[in-house]
Amino acid sequence: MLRYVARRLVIMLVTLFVIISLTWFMSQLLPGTPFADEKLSDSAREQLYAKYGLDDPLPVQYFWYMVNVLQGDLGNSFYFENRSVTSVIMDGAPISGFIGVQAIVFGLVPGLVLGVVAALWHNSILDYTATVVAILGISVPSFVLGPIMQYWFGYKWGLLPIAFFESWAHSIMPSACLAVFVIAIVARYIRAEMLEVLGQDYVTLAKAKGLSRVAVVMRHVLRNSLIPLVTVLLPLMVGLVTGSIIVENIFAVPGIGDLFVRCIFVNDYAVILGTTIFFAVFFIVAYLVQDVLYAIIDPRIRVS
Amino acid sequence: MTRKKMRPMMPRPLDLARFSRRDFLKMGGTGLAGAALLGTAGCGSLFGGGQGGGNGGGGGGGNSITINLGDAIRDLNSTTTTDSVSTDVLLNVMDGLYRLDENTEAQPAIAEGVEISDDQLNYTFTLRDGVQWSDGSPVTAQDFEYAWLRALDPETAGQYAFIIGQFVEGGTEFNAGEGSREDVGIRATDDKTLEVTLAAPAPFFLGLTSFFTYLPQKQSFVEEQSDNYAQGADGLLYNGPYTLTEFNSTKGVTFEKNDRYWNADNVDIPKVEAVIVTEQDTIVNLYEGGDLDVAGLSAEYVDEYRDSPEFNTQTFFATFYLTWNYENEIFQNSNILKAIQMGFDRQAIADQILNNGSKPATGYVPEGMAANGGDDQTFREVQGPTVPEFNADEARRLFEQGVEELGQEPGEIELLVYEGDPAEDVAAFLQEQFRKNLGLQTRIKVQPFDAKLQLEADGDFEMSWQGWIGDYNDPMTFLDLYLSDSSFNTGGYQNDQYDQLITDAQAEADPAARLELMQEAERLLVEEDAAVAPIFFDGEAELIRSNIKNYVDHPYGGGIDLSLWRLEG
Repeated sequence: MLRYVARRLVIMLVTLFVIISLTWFMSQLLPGTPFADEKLSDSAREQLYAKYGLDDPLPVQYFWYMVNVLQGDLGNSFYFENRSVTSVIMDGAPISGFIGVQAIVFGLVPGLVLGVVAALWHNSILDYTATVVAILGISVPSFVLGPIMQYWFGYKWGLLPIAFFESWAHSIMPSACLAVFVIAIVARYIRAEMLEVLGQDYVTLAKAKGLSRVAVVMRHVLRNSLIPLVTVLLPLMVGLVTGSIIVENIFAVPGIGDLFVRCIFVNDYAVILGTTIFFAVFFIVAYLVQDVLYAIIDPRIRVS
Repeated sequence: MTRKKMRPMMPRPLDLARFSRRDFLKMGGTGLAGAALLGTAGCGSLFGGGQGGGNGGGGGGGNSITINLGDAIRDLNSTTTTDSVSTDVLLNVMDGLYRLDENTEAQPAIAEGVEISDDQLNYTFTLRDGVQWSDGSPVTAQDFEYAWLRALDPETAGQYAFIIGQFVEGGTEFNAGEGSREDVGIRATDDKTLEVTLAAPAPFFLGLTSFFTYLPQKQSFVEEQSDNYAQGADGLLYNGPYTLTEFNSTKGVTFEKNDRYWNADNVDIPKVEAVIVTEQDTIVNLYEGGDLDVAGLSAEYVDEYRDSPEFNTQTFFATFYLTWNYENEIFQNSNILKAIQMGFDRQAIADQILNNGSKPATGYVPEGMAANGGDDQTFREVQGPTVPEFNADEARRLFEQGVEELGQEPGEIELLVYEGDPAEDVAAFLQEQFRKNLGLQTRIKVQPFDAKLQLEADGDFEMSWQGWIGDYNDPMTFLDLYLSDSSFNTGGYQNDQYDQLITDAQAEADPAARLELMQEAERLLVEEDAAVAPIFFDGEAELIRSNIKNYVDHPYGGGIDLSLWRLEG
């Protein structure tokens, strides 16, 4: 087991190195410069380049960037003059993380219920309803759902704050907006998984033994359908990261998604790279955890 | 200023005709019914208090108001900052030698007055007695000398160094690393006296001292803070109408009235929350819900609120215009240029597309700009229109004549524009107008803002959409862009006579003669050479809560001045 984890760690570091390098070179290809202000004269631009070390040849810039990253220094933001990338990211990351995790919490139970109902009453009106709800959840974009929620829950009925991030109440609507997506994914996944399990021989056997329908579902079907739910959590997180970009914008939440988009538009290479590295580390670690969990659950994986 | 850079918008559904966004939200609600979760906060550390509606003055409650900055606060260091959001904040917590009043005229602030030499090159400012920083120490002439030189210092790499450098003697040289600090015409002769020597007469210079790059900084404080300077509410010293009690670059700031301010008696609103919201639907929802007291409106919301008593529009010292690349021989034919100038309906653009108080351009220099320093008359009043009236038939005649002179069909011209509305909408309208009125085919090329600037700098464009907001209250801030050696003159317009007029005006000490030269220059640029096709003077529509009186948002340089606003009830 330890050897398996160690091997995975090495692969992880190599992957990170490749991702950082690729992103670095791709960000060099972005059109324009971080200092594209219509009021910037050529001499002022030269001064800025010198200040940020952008006048060095590319290989030299790349080398120093990598050396700094190894020391945990992601450099200075171009957009937020005089701020370090790390501080900019650490301002937003916990907020986005909270909203994302809360969205999963909000969405898990309704998603489960929908999925289970759809599977048990397969091809009935209940199934179709659940499917429609799930498809709506996937297909209604946040920039439509968000303002509608704001208008009714916030402005019309005054139940929740319309925007900003001041208290737990402020975090409910953004999370709920993202949770719709979670519900849809979980429901579809559970439905498919359960239908498969329902067709297994041991379920038929359990029924034949005369177990009640409830007992069969709870004890055998649901339990075996839940284990692979671990796999769905990762794509879910990826989806939440991309979803948070729009949701944070709508609800004026100062998270990392909003920041990421802003910095792409203004060519803040430093923050783009920093955020990419941050996400890459996050996902790679998540994958590692997932694989280790699987390895624990299913010994066959370790061998292969 | 980056104010004129429209933020790229998220993709959004098409607006249905006669079906307002508000209607849509109401409709959407019919399909929504849900139980709202009620609870109280369980994790305080994540939710920084301070900013946010909550106790906003909606409906006149309390004595504070909430405004929207509209974008992140990038930098509150006056020597390096560039963007309009940061400067909106800065100018409410800092005070320069002079400050703009509600009529956008420069009035003595930290300086109690100035003596100007006869040749208009030497300014001797005397500081007011008892002006203080927020830590109680006096504001001195050395603070100005230090900050101005710091802005000019090549080490600082401040993007706005030119706003001091081009006017103050030795400034450009020092900034370019060629001259020395000692040769710059900025000297604090004692704690109360600042002597400034200009490179050439500048009747607008007093107004310029209210500009953010001209704000003072206290050397000992800056050095003590070092990397933490301007990195939080405690990382700054304040000498303006307000101090910051909260400062987060992506959440916003809290302004509290500064009791040490020399003019505190005339500051009415004790507390202002400034939040950051970018999404237009959210802004309107917050305003309606009473969580915001001032809300900017984009074109699609204007029709809905046009008749509201809280609806306002204003224009800025900003012109949007078409410019072209003289490398392309089509643009070397003056009849074709005149046809392009005359061949589109500016009124329709202002009324139907922008719909936000923007006005059809009547010249290159925008409306409202002073004719000469603090003159009562505006340049546009003195000058009259230099842009020809829209006339489709005459434009077509000129165009066809131009094509004949060229001896070939112009083919398809590329129109370069940056992403976002209204730029893309206006470009599409222009494309149709040129096709219909002139028979000129254009191809629109949409690029991210930075990429567009790069293409222009490389001369890799044919016709391009540009916008400019004035840096100071004088036509020169527009006219010198078309000097043949200006780095902003990307199309390569070159006319020795124009260069001469501008250079003469820059050196002219007599205001009347100077104005005459600038008028002649604009006529030459717009009427005779048709080197630019002005489209509109930029405006803004907003909702302002009716209990806010004397709302001031300066058309250049500063932006909003909370110290001039009044709160009723």
